Amino acid sequence: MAAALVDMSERARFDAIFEAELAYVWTSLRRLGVQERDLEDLSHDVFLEVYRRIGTYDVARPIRPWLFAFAFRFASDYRRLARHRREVMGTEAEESDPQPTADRLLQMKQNQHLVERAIGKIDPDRQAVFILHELDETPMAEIAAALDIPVNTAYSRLRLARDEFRDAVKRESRKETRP
Amino acid sequence: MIEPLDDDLAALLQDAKTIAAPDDAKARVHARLALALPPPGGGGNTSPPSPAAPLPAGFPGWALAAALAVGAGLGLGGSLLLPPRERVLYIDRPTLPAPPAAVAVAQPSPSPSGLRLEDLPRAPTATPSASAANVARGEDLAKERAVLDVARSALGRGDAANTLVATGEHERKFPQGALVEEREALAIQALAMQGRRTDAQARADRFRKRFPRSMLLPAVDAVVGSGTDSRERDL
Repeated sequence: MAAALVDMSERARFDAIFEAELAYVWTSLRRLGVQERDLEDLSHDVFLEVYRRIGTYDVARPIRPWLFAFAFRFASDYRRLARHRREVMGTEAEESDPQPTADRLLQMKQNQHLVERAIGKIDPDRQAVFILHELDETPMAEIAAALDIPVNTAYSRLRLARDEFRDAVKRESRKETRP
Repeated sequence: MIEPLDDDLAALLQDAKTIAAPDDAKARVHARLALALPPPGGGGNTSPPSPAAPLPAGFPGWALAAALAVGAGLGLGGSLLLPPRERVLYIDRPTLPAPPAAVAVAQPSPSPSGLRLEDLPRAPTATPSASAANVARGEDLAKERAVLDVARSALGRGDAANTLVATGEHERKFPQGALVEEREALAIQALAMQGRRTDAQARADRFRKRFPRSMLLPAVDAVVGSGTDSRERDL
């Protein structure tokens, strides 16, 4: 990560990461299917684990893929519980852009919900690669490092995830247009 | 290698790239973490958490809250209620060869924009103690500048996350520092770069109130657009 973190104590480093990346962890958990009402709990759990593991963070690497790996593991455990199985994603996504027109804002929110529902249809292991690459724009080498998989596997998962995502978007779109 | 995504899917995904959390999420999660984690610099907290337990004073959320409170106070009437603070504008961009010594000049009041502070005549040093104070201030300023250089460099690379890490570090170490204005402008740009427009707008509004004559205001406005407060500024 940046030189900014190099000279910090581990606690200061954790504080800085929390300050800068809470929103990222929150958003990643939501993308991974955690329901709105549980985001605070899981964000708390993720950062507790980040605190415990802060000594293992390599400051030469980007922080987000490293954080995403935590979010992914917690979200996977969360989804294993039947009561947390995905219902409808993004029931109340936050309004984040005050600039667009109301129509555009509505469309953006609809698109966001559609994307998150479609991501929910992707196989979980592929889902992580897809989110990191397509939404976070993380280079494949970093994705492979963060998820501890070979780069070729990451590419393979991305291709399959794209197919699943494309199909899911079609299905979800048909549902939306059905009277 | 991987092929580009279909245009329609890419456009769809673009709308889902926003990174955001509710405004109060950070404070809530922070408060819970503060109860679970040892205080900064402490040796571990073995006592059971208490709902009334004070939060660690060094935690950035507190620093941020304190900074916001101070900022709001200054913005509403600080110039009348408080003695004038030194304002230091950090103008140059010392990313290449060794930067010049601190570009710090004390001002009794906000300067009109466009005036290069280093062009002003220097007052003679009055006493040895004043000189020592100036040296200490210069060292502090150099430390502040070093932190913000990291932020600026990250922003230049399009690395908003690390820009915010560095501005957060500055906020903790120098909550009343001489380069607060510079820090805030960098943070606003980084927030906007991350797509956190609500956060950027709110921080920009506070910036306008706190530094209504800032030379950095045009840069801030260019990022978030001039809000309603800009009308007040123009009056």
